[in-house]
Formats: sequence, C-alpha cells, structure tokens
Amino acid sequence: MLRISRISGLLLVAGLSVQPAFAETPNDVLTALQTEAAKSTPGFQGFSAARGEKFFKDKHGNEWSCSSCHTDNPAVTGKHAKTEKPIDPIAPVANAERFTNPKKVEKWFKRNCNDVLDRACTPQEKGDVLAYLLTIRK
Amino acid sequence: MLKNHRNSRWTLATAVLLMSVTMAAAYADDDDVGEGEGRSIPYAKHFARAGDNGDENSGGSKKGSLSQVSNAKWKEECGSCHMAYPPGFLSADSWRAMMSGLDKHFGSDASLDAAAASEIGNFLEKNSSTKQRKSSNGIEPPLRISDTSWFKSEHREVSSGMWKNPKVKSPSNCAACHINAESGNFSEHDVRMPK
Repeated sequence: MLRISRISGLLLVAGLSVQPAFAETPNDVLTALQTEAAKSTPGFQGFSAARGEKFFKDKHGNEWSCSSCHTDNPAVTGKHAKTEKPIDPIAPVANAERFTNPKKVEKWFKRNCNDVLDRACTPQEKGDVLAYLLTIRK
Repeated sequence: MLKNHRNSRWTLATAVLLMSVTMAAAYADDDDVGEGEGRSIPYAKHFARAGDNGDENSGGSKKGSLSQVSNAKWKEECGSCHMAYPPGFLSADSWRAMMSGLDKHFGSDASLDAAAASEIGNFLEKNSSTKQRKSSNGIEPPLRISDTSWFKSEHREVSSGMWKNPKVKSPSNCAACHINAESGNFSEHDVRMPK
C-alpha cells in the first residue's frame, strides 16, 4: 500500500512536471469568447465553423484575407504576405502553443483584423474563426 | 505510522502540485509583463569573446559589433513579422517616430500594449546609433533603414542587378546576403552574395 501510494505520488509529480506550461487551452479561449458574444450579439446562436472558414478565406473587399498569410490550410506553416517570414501553423492541432495565451490572442486579432478588414472583429467573428480552426485535423 | 507516512507523502505531492500550477501561471504571464532591461542578453560580450579567437571586427571596429545587443521582448515582438532590426541601425529620433506609429507600421497594424511598447522603446533608444542616421530622401527622421544615407553608402558596391535577384527581393531582406544577420552579425566577412 505504501509502495502504491509512493508510486502514484511520484507519477502525479512527474506527470505535472511535463505538462506544457500554457495558461489556458483553446477551448477555454473559445468559452470566454462565447460569454463575450452572448452579451454583445443580439440573438446569439453559438459559433459556426463553416461561417468561420468562409470568414477566414474571404478578403472582405480588401487586399488580404487571413489565409493570405496563414494559407488556405491552417495546419501548415504560413508566410507573411509582405516580408515572407515563415509563420508557424495557426491551427491548434499543428501548433500546441496557439490560443493558449488570451493576451496574445487579443493582440493578434486586433492587429490582423485591422489589416484584413480595417476594423476590429466582433466576438462572434473571432469565435467562428476559432471554432473553424479547432475543426482542422492534420 | 504507515498512515502518517502516506499523509506526509500526499502533503508533499499536493505542495508540488500547487508549485507547478503557480509556476505554469507565472510562465504564461512572463510573455506579457515588461521585465525591464535587466533581462537583456549580453550578446555583445559573447561576440567579443568569440572575436578574440580571430574575428577582426571585434577589436574596436564598429562594423559587425554595433548590432549585437539584445532584449527578449524586442526580439519577440519586432521579430514576429520580419527580422528584429538592430537598434544601432537608426538614430533615437527615428525609433521614437517608429514606436509612436505602430498602429500603421508600413501598412500593417503592429500595435503593442503600453508595457511592451515602453520596454522596447527604451531598449531601442538606449542602443540607437550615436551617429545621426540621416535620410537620403530629405524626409526626416527616416523610418526605413534602407532610406538612410548610411545604408546606401554601406551598400554602394552592391550592383542594381543584385538588388533585383529573386533571392534578395528587397533591401529589407538582410539575411539574403548577411548570413548571420539574425544573430546580429553584419561583419563584411559574413557576407555571401546569392547566385
């Protein structure tokens, strides 16, 4: 019994130490967006991955779409449309760091929505895009 | 006794669990909290030592050494979309103008939160060029490094054909020829023109 408890204690500790040190999961970020969208969207009916995909690939009447840099396949490495610097995959399935830091998520949505749409994205739009990215499989 | 033993073991496990959780949170926050200049990595020292073993440029010559200062926040933020250009490539007035217009940064929104902007702005100004980097087109202060008279003079031997080489594409693409540009080494000895 002592041995079992010792082993399980060690396993618990070992298991914790290899956990990636991300503050949140993409699903936590999605839940937060859902709370925000429910407050700010009249008649909010949840997020749609299909709508997110369309939004991701659309140029919205301007020069760039999200996929201009992140490519049409969010599971592969992208490339900055201007500088051509490689961009790590945006889909969480291909890049475990994505959507785990709410401040970073906010920073990039702000910048990229301004670049693509000349305005901020709504919580509904952000949630649709994240719902789409979470459907991507390698 | 056995029970006591088990209890103490679980207390230990719980303590470690709490520590891990606390550390995980600290790690995530690390990314966004300004840490001040104390975190600067002394690359200059590192390269100076390396230079003792044969790099001619480290013995007091400015060339190849003016760029070897670093700051984690600068490297991360300024290096997201392009190479993090060395602070010594522009004068302080240029960096001030750059940092005050990040929401429209060469056609893109590169805005930062106040803490990051302040840390990076201080780092850039502190390590900016001591010589005035004048603009070659009369518009002061220059924002593009490649618009400075200094840049043009340094690259006067580069043919117009080389600038159009598809592997170069743009004067902003330092690493096309300066093979160690990413680590801040712009020594003439480390230039390899693409074919």
